[in-house]
Amino acid sequence: MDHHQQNEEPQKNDELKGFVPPRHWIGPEELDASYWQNPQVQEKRGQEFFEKPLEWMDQKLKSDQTGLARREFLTLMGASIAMASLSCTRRPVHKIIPYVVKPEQMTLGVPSWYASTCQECSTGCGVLVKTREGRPIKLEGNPDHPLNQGALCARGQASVLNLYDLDRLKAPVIRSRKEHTQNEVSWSEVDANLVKQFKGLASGLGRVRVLTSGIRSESTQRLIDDFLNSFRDGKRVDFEPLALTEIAESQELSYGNALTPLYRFDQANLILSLGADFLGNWVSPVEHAQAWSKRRKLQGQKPAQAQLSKLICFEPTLTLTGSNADERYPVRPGDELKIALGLAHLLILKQKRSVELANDPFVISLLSQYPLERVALELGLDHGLSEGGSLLFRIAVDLWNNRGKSLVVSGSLPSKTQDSLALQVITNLLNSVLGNEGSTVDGMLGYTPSHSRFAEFSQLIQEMKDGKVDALILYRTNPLYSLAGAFPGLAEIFQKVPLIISVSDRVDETGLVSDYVLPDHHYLENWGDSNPRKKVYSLQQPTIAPIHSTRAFQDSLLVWMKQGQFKQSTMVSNAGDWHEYLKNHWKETYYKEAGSSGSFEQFWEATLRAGVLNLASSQGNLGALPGSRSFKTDSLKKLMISGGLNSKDVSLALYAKISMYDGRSANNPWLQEMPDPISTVTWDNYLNISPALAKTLGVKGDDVVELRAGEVKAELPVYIQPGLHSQVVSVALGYGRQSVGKIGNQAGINVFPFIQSKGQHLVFSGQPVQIRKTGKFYKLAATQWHGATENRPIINDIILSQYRKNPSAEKHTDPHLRLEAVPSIWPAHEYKSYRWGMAIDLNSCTGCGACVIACQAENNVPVVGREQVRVSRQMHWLRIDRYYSGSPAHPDVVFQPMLCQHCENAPCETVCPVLATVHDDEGLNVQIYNRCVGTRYCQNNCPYKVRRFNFFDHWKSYEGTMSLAWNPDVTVRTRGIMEKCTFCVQRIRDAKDKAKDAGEKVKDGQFKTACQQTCPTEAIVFGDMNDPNSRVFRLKESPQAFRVLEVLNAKPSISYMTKVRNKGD
Amino acid sequence: MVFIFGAQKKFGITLLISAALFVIVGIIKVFPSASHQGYAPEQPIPFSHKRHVAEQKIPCLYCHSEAEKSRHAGVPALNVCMNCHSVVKVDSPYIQKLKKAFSEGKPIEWVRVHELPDHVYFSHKRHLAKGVACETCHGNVQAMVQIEQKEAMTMGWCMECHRGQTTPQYVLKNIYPKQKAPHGPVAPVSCNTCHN
Repeated sequence: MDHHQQNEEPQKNDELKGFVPPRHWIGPEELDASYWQNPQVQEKRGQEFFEKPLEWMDQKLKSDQTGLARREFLTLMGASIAMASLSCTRRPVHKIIPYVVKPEQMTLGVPSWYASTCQECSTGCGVLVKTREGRPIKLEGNPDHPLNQGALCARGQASVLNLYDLDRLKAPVIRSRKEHTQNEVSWSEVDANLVKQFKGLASGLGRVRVLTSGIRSESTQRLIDDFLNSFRDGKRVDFEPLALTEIAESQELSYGNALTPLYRFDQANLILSLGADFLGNWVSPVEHAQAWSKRRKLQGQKPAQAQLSKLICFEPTLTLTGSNADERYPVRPGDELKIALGLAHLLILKQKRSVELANDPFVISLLSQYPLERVALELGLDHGLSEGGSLLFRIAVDLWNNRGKSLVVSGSLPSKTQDSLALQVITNLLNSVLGNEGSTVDGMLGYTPSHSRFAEFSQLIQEMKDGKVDALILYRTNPLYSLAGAFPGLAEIFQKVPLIISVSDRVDETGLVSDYVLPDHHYLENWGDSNPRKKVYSLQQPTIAPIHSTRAFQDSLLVWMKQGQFKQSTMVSNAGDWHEYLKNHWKETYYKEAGSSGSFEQFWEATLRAGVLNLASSQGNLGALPGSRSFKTDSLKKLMISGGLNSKDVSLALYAKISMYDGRSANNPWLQEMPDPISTVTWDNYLNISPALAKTLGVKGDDVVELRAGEVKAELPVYIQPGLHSQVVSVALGYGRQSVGKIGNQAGINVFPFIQSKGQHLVFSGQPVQIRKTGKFYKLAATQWHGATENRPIINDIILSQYRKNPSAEKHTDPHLRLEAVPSIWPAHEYKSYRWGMAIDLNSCTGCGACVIACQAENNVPVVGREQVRVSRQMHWLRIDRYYSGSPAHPDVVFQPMLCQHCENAPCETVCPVLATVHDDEGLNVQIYNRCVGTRYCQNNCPYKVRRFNFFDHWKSYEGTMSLAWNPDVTVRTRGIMEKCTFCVQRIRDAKDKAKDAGEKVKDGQFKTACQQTCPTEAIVFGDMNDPNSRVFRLKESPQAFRVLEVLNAKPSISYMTKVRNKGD
Repeated sequence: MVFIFGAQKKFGITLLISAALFVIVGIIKVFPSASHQGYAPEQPIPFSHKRHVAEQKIPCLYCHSEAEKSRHAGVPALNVCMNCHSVVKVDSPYIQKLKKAFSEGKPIEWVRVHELPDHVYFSHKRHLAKGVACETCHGNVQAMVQIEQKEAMTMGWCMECHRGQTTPQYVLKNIYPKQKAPHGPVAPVSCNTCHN
C-alpha cells in the first residue's frame, strides 16, 4: 500500500481538482479534500505499522531525553540473556488434584449445559449455560425460548463475567451511618439483629417497604408479599428508572388493559418508529430484531419480485434502529408527538379513514390543532416536497396503503419528554385507525407489566420524607445513583428511614447509605423464575455453588419469617427454603395451568431441562390473529400536552447504550471495552453534537464542554455525531459510577442528574441546555479509524429497485473493487474434505455487537483498558465497522462485522518469516501461537486489519475469581504473539469429534461459531463450502454476494451479502 | 556499518558478544529441556502401577475412566480408590493416609508426570478410538513401581507417529487394513490439529 501511495504523489494536485469524496465514509472529515492533504493523515497512511511499539513507551519516558533507544535495546538484550539462562532449568512441579468424590454426571473436559433465565435485565430471555468442571464459562440463548429463540444480546453474553467480578461483596456487612464505616459480619449475626428489629416492627406500626427493580417473577413477588403480610402496613414497590412504563399505561387508557402488547415486526410491511429503538433498548430487543430481520432477507426470493419490509424512523439521537432504517429523519425530542398528531389529523380528520373516530368530539378537539402541513412546516420536514406532497403526507399514504400490515411504535428514552404518555396514546390511535390493532399489535399476548407506576414510587419517597417509613428493603436497585437528580436531597430523605437494608451484589451508591448490605447470589448461583410474557414461564437454576458467602434474598426473607415466628402463609410454612417455595408455587399455579398429565415431579424435571414453559404456543402464538380491541377516545381527553420547544433552544436527549444500559454492570470490563456500535467509543460517555452545531459552537471532537440544564451541569468530551438534529445533543446514561468497583468507578460522567421528575413521569429528554467550551481536552478511546481502509471501497449497498432489476453484486460493485481475471503464481489449495467458510448478511446485521462479546467470551479475548484502546491495541477478534454514506446531516448507515477473512491467498501467510500463520487443508488460516515470534509483519500486510498483537501479558489482569471465566478449550495467549479469529476452531474440532464418533461427516448446521450462535438476526452463517447443499454455499453463490477488497485477489472465505435499502431513488 | 565500526565501536562489539551468548545459552538451555523423558518424581503416596496392573490385573480404564469419553484420561477420585481399599490392605500406613484424606474430604495432591504445554490440544478419546494402546505412549506402565515419563512427548515425537514413520504396526494395520505391509500417514499434521 505504501508504494501505491508514493506513486500517486506527483499527481496529487491534479487529483485534488477532481476530488471525489468517498462514497462510504467513517467520519465527515473524509468528505473534505483537505483531509487527505493533511500531513498528519499522510504520515499515518505512509507508516508501516499503524501502531508503533515504542511510541507509547516514548510518551511514558519523555523526561529521558537522550539515548533512549540504545539504552532500551541493551536493557532488552540483557533481559533476554537473563531469561534464556533462567528458564527451563528445572521442570516446574504441577499438581493433579482429583475429586474426593466425583459427581457422577460429570466428565472432565466435557461441558455440561443447563437451561436457565438471563437476569441481566428484566426482559427474561432464556439461556443455556455452558459449564466446565462446575464453572459457568459461556452463555448461549435457549433455542426453545419463545422470546430470544437461541440468540442473546451483548449484555446477556457478558453477564457471566459478573459472576466472577472481583468487587462482589463476599459477606454481609453492617454499616455505621455516623462513621461511614462497615464491618463484615456473619449471616447468623445479621439474622439475629434483623429478626429482633422486625419483631419490634411487627408489633408496632410496621411501615415496611420493599423496593425492587423490574422483577418479572411472580413467585418472588408472592414471597415478598408473604413477608410484608407480617406487618400492619407493608408495601412492595417496583420501580425501574429506565423502564418504559408509559406503554402499559397508555394501553390501559386506550384499551383498558395495562400491558405492553406484542409487536409483530415480522408481520409488518411498513414500520414507522417515532423514537422507538426496538433494535437496541426497547421492550424486548432480541426478539424484535429477530422478527424484524425475517422480512429483511432476500435469500429465497426471486430478485425481480423481491420484497423487503420498510422501516421509517424519526428520532432525536442516532440509535441502532435509526441506523438500520430505510429512511431516517433526525428530530428534536418532543417532535415525535407532533408527527404522530399530524399523521392522525390527516388520516382521521382530513381523509376520514374512520368515520366513527372522525366524528368523535374528543378526537376532533385534540387533532384539529395539528394539521399535517403545519406540523411539517414547524418541524422543517416539508423538504423533499414533490408532486405527491410532503414527506409526512407520503408516509401517511403509505401507512394507509399498508393498513393492517403496518406498525407504528414509539418512545425510547431520547423521546421520553414530559409528553411521553401522550405519544404512546396517539401511537395507539394511529395503530387503531390503520387496522394494525389486532394484526401487527397483539394486545392479547403481551409482556407482563412488572413495573409499578412512577406515582407509587414518588409516593414512597414522599412517605420517607415525612418519616412514615420504618424500614426500607432495597432489592437489586440503586436509586441513589440513578434518581439522585430527579429527587433533590434523596440522600437526606434516606437518612429519615431508621432501618435500610440493601440486598445487592456490592456496596453500591445506595449501599453507602444503608445499615445493612446483604450480598445476593449472582443469578447463575440461584433458583428463580420469570414471567416475561403472558403464558410464558421461564425457569432459572443454579449452575455453580455460591462462590462467596452470599445468600438469596428470597432465602433471607424465609429465614426472617421463620426465626421471627411471624404469622406464615401455608406456602411459607411448607417450604424449607427458596427452592422448595419456588417448586410449590409452580405446583400450585403453572402446573395446573399447563394441565400436564404426568406427576408434578415429572413436569418439574421436564421444565427444568427445557428451561421454559410456553403455554402460548399451544394456543397459536404468533400464528392466528388475535382479536382487535377498540380504542377508547376518552383517553384523549385525559392527555396533557405541553407546549412545543422554543425553536432556538438546544435540547438534550439522554439515551441508554446497548452495552452499559443503566450502569448496573459498569464493573464488567467486556461491556466497558465494547465499542459503541454507532460511535465506536469505549470506556466513556460523551456529548454527541451534530457537525452543524459543532461548527456554530466552535468545538471539535475531544474538546471538553460544560453541559448545563438549569442548576445541573456536567463536563463532557465532545463526539461529533453525523445524523443528529442541529438542535439536539445527546449523552448516554450509566457512566460515572462512584461505588461499583475498580473497573467501573469514575469511568465516564454520570448524567442521571439531568433526569427530571415532572408530574407523573420521569423526563429524560427535551430539557433545554446550554453548552460552553472549557478549553480542556479529553481523548476518547474510539476505535473508529483503527481499521480504516483509506478510501478503498469495502461496502456494497444498493436500493431495492436496482436490486430487482439487477441483483448481481458484481454489477453494482465499485469498479475499483472488481477483480479482473489474473493468473496466479501460487498453486491452488486443495480441499479434500471440508472447506469452512462464512456468509454475512449486511442487510440483516443490525450492528448490535452481541457477536463481539460472544467471541470475547468464547475465545478468551482479553481486555486492554482505555489507554491501550487509544493507541489501537484493543484485542477484539471480531469488530463491527460502521460506515456512513450521504450527507453528514442526513447519513445512511451500514454496519459490517469484520473478522479474519481466512483468505485463500492470504497476504499474512506469505510474509511470516517463521511460518507461524499458514493455510490448512480445510480452508482455515491458522495462527500458531507457539511458533510466532512477534514480527507483526502479518498484521501490517493484512488488508482488513483483523490481526491483534499482544503487547502485554493481558491474562495477568484476570486475577482471582476472574481467571475462572477462561474457556479451557482455547489457549490463553501471552505477550509478544499475534492472534486473530480462528473460525472457532475448537468448535469445529468438537463437531468433527462427535461426527467421527457417529462415523459420519459433520452435517450442515450441526454446530455454530460463537458469533453466529448469538446473532439475533441470523446475519452470520457458517458452514462447509464444499457441500453444495449447505446454507453457506448457497449464500456464497447467490448474486447478492460479494467479497471485500476483491481486487487484491486475497480470495476471502467470507462472503458478504449486499446491503439493499428499501427506499426511493 | 558505520554505526558498528565507527565511533561506537565498543557498542558494536558488545552487541556481537551478547548475540553470540544469547544463541549459545539458548541452545544449551532450551533444547534439552523441551522433553522431560525419564521424569519420575516422588508421589505423596508411593502408588505402584506394577502392583495394580501387573499383579492385580486392574484394567487401565477402571481408574482412568474418562480416557474413552474425553480429551483427559483423568486421575481417579478418591472414592474409586476406596472401592477396593475400604477392605484391601487397610493396615498399610499409606492406605491409612488415603483413608484419612477421604474421610476429611481432602484430595491427595499427586505430582503431575505427563504434561503437555497449555498451547497443545491432545485428546485421549480420539487416540483410543483409533485403537492406540495406552503403553504406546506411556510405556510399559505395568512394570513401573514409580510412574515415569517413558517417551519424549515432544512435538517431533508426535509428528513422527502422525506421519506414519514411527507408528506401531498394529495401529497401521487398523488404518490400512487392506495393505500387506501397511504404511503411510496415519493422522493429520495440520498445525491446528493440536494448536489453537
